[in-house]
Amino acid sequence: MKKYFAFAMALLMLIYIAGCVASGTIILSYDIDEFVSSSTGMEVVEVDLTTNSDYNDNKDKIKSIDQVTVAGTLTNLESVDNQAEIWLAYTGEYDTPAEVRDNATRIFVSPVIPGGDDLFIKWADGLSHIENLSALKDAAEAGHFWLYGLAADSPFTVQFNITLVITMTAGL
Amino acid sequence: MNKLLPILLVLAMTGSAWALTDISVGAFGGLNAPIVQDDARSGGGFGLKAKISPSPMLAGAVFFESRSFGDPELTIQGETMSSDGGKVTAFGAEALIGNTGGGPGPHFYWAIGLSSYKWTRDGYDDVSEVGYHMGPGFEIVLPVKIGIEGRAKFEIVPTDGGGSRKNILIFVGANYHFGLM
Repeated sequence: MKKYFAFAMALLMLIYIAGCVASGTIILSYDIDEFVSSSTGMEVVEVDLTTNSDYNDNKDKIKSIDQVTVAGTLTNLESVDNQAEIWLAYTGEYDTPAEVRDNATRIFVSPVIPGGDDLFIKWADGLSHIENLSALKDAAEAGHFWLYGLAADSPFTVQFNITLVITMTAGL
Repeated sequence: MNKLLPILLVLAMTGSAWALTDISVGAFGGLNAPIVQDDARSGGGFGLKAKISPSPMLAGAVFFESRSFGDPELTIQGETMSSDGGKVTAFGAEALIGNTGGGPGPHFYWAIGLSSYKWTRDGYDDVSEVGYHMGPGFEIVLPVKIGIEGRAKFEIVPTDGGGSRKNILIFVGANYHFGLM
């Protein structure tokens, strides 16, 4: 009896490992069209990851979203220092920063950007400025969401020229 | 005489008495290469191990490995940038089957084992899982009880969500054989 149990356990382990073997980790970058968002003219962008061929090829085989981060250039078009923010929602219908803050999820806060200056966020640096990563991972797995550009202080005018970098594990 | 024959045969095959039961310790280093993982590149590693061979055909070993992955690169807005490849520590145990004794001469064997695997990277959650490995090894033991060893391991670390991390490890090292207990 013990022999059969050991054999069954070994077989189950082999099947489990074999299932795991057929997977790979992919990094995809999703460029978001440059946009300017201000306290009086807040901008929202629709993110449809299925337009990315790497994502589209693997969307039905995603096993886990391992990391999502933001890289790119943020430009503070006002004369006072500010911090750019990116908020995540599953609708693009919010019209004001107050509505976004009440209903969406903040997923990124930049370091302070001096007035009239810009800041380049590198891939590795972006990781440390991400918030609510689990919500961001869920959105990446869903593949379709909206991002709102805000800033910590009003009034603000910020130009966002950013790329989402998504690391995911998918079946081969 | 019939009862003595197998013992005499074993003694003849092993070449020396200290091959029957052997304890050895060693250090090794080499290549740590990820398979189908865009977020890591090949790196290096080193380790220590202790092995006991209660018979010429079977052995057990425990080991510690400290490894690193190379930093992955990505070009964003015309600028090539990297992220941390991270470091791995692994404590493990393995069974060796084949010609695993410590006597002088060549020894070829297969190993299968598991380890406590921890991968830490800046900006990422640590990966702490049980890893499994298998692969061949080859050691030439010199009469001065020093063995030069080369081995390859295929390692798989199942992760959350049903995926896995897979690596190829190629190590060379040296062992000291204490011989007969």
